[in-house]
Amino acid sequence: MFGMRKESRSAVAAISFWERLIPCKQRLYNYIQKSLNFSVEADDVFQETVLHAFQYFRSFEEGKEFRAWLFAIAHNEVKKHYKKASKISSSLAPERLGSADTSHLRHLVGEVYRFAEKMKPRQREVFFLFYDGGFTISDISRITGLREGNIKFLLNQARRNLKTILGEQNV
Amino acid sequence: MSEDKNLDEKITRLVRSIEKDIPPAVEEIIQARAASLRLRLGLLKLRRPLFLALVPSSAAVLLAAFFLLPLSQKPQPPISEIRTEFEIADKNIKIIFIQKPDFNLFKEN
Repeated sequence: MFGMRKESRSAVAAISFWERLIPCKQRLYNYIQKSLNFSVEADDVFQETVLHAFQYFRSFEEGKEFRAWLFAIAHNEVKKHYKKASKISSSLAPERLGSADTSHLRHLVGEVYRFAEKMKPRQREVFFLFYDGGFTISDISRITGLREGNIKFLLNQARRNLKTILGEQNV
Repeated sequence: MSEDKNLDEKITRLVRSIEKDIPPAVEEIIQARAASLRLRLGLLKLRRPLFLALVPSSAAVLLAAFFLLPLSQKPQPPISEIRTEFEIADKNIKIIFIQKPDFNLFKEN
């Protein structure tokens, strides 16, 4: 009886996990892809992130934001990956970036991604958490463990550089 | 400040204009691995209480064996004699004491 109750509780938890994952998995996948410069290993990192989250879902505290919790796991996986692989094979050729609406827009997108490619991994993660994930600075601080002041500094630096790059291109 | 906001919106638009879809193969692998992981975790959960239940029961069996084993053994026959031998090799002497149950050590004639 007790075993059955326990079993059904874990089944409910599993369903709850997949339901919560659906609305954020696309953003999560893109965050990992972009943080790893669209590396071929990004799919593996995504898999590991989802499976780790599934395995440790019991530790997720109800009432906290699931998306931030999930991205924190992704951040750790990305960090682990950078530790393992000394050099990430990047494939940021504009034709691989997908189809932006016009060729001008495509060029600008290429500029942004080329700029992101040159960033240090930590800065790139903050950049994509903010601009792609849509997280606030305090969320990013919780996800990455960086101080809010540090995040603001990294974002300002990126903003300043991109302003120069995009300003010249008449966005 | 609003200039920064505008720039942020532009960057967000440009960054988000590239969207990669999760490949179906990756989704399938995740589902398969999650299923096996769930099974493994479930088995681990089940295995732990079973193992713990075996500890007191095996202890009880050992205790019972310890106390019941002497009862199942046959009673030993009474000692009929005690034999003590001494040998002095260089003098070629051998002394043998045999103590029988009817022998009284302090018997008076």
